[in-house]
Amino acid sequence: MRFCRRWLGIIFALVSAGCVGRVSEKSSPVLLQSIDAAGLKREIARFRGRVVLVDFWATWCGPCVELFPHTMELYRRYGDRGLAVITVSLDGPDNASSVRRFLAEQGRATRHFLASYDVGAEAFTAFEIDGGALPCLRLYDQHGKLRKTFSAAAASGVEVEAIEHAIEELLGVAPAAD
Amino acid sequence: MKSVVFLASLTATLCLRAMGDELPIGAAAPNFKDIIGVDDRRHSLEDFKNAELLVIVFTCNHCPVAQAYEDRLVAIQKDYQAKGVQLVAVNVNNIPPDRLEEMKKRAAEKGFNFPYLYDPTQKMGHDYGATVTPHVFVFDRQRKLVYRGAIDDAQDVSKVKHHYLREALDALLAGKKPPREITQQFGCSIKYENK
Repeated sequence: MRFCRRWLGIIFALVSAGCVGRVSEKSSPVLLQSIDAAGLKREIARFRGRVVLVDFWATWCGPCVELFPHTMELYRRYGDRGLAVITVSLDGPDNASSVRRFLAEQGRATRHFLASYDVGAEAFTAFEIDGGALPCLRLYDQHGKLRKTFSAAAASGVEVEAIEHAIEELLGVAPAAD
Repeated sequence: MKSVVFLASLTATLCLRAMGDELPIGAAAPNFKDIIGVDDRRHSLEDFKNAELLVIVFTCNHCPVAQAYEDRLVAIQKDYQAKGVQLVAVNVNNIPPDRLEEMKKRAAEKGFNFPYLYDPTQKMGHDYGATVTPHVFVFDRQRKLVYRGAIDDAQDVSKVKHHYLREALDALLAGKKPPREITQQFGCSIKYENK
């Protein structure tokens, strides 16, 4: 996974500036709802008309934790231009508190969910996580059709620039300015 | 024309395999040779020729999911050793906590009773199509793949409902097919450097 310098710069600037939005987000409670595979399908359908990015992640997954701020940044950039961001933690129902603690330090997304399954084969099968590997992100178009999967198990891996490019393409927007 | 189609399909197959597709059931065990272990010895597939069943487990040190399974792997080797089952753990990650010196420490701490090999070229991971740690591949006496996937169905040992690997070994030792030949592996993605 390669973070381009631009993203590193943005993340560094946000952290070092301690921007106002971030402070207020930290103080607000994190809404974390339980979800299963059927619920996620319904959730994606709810956002028909918007491009939907789903980020499957876990606190125990180093690359997921590294990627997460990028996902939040995408929502910040494109949320008002038609992007919905749904995050699904695969930490298991017993670990809601550690997921909340992590999310409290992150930005907002459209929805944060915690998989209703324990960490195990059922969760990875139900959500059809490619190769059983995280991070795994899926991008749906405005009609709810799956258009791209970005998987740690795929030959191409998870490239942040590829995710951003695919979102811009579906939204029909010019690349965001730095 | 047929040969062109064949060549095209062969090339496509090779490309797909090179990208790390998982081995199909019935496939021959990809050969490996002179892979260093935590015992400072070199190990090859040939070294395990006497095993009735060979269990190759891709694992690593740093991954919490892989760590959660270490005691289970030790117990499986202990329980099945007398029945001719040989477990071989392999790490192909090159990140600092997964390198050989750290592997030696981990193997000693956890009392690994099976070889723990380090393949920094990552070739073994690509050849077997391993995607995560842990990821299991079981081979029969003819060294054909008879089971691949997860060790069991839950990271938390108290929540395990299906002991996939044990169930597969029991069936195979009784001359039967595993109840499930493929299960969903899950864990930390293997950190391939050249995908």
